[in-house]
Amino acid sequence: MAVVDPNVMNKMYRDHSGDLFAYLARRVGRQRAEDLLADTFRSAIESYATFESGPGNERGWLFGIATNLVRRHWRDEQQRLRTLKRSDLASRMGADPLVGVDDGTANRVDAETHAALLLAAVSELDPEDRDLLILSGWEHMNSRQIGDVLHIEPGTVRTRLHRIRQQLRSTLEAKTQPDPTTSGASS
Amino acid sequence: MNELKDFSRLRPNDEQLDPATNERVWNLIAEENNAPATSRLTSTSDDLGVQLQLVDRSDRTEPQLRRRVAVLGAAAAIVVGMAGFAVVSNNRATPSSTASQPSEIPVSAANEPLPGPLTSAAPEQSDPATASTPPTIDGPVEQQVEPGEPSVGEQINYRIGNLTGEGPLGALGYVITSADVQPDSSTTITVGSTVDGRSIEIRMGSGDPLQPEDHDRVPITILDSTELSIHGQLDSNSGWTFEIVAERSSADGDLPTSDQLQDILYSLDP
Repeated sequence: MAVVDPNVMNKMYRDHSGDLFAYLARRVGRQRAEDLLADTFRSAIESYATFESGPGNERGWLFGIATNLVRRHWRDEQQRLRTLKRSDLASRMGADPLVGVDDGTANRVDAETHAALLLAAVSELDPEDRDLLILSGWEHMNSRQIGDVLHIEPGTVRTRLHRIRQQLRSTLEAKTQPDPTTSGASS
Repeated sequence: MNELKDFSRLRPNDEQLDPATNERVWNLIAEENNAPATSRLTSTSDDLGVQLQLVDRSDRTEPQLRRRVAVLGAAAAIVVGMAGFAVVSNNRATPSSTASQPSEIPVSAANEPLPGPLTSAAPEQSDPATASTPPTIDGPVEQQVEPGEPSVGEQINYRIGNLTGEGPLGALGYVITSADVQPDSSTTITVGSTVDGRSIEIRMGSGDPLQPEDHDRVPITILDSTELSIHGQLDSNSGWTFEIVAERSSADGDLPTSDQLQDILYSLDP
């Protein structure tokens, strides 16, 4: 049975609840994030005996628990990826000079479409790959920190990121290819 | 086009954990652990809601207890050893005065608080006024970060802040155009060429110092190189981790070589 010093858990909560909540809310929305934040610390209390304390270990350990919990709420996350505002996406993508949204409406639509397709491609990734991508792209963790969360080697993280990028690229290319049946019908 | 970079741009903004939500979630955690059969944390009411009670230290799980006893034993052995050494040294230095001053050094050494667990264990008393509201609790902790110790983000910010204008990076024809500094994780730095429109993205973070005393450079490892992009990584001896990506665009010429990317990284970690 796990026994945890409340002062230790209290400090962990103070130190990490803000980041964990932001992470969870990004993935499953604010409302669900509250429940998952509580669940994360409940699990942490229950499994505290297995925790190997050390500088910086807490964050990776807690994010690992939270990430496992998020996987049980995949439908919530999928819904969230779909409902991110398209206009917001376009403005974010507009920061890329290669996209060039300042050129006019057509480019703006392109940026929106690209962003929506990209999120759709992410939602189709293997759950572990999606976790890795989000920890890297949205939580700004480096390979070692991601490895701590997912219990894999930093080199594996880098290799998988490279593979994920290739997978996203090919998925996007497939999605942007004109559908011969549709184009034939419209012409 | 870099799909990873595009995806990072789609990052939703941080949702803030407001104090009311924070307290509500903390109360949930504490209330759920009311049952002794789960985590042995119990809760009691106070003026603000829920307070975690201290766990009886004799009630710790066996491995924790064993570890704590081992640490205490080691600390006690060090103190006894130091006291013994002091006695021997004192006896050797003043053989004629040992009868009059035999206990001064050992007694003072024995009265010194033991380092580590003993000193940190002493204040682990529950303070109802502070234990009920986690965001404002300043209770005792076992591993306090030293005050004033800069975060990883602050260290990186300081480091790249010195790279403006002329310097190793400027000599390579680049300047830092943006830096997304995160307090406790990796920082994304973009450097732009002063010659053409090239932009290179670098992710810099804190890793494990490999061989801090080894002044030989760690070479860059190229993870991926195509006609359109080059992607490398480098974990420096001094403990910085780098990932660097350069892509071809219509605004610049040939992609930088691995040596050029390496020189850029070296300029960030001189």
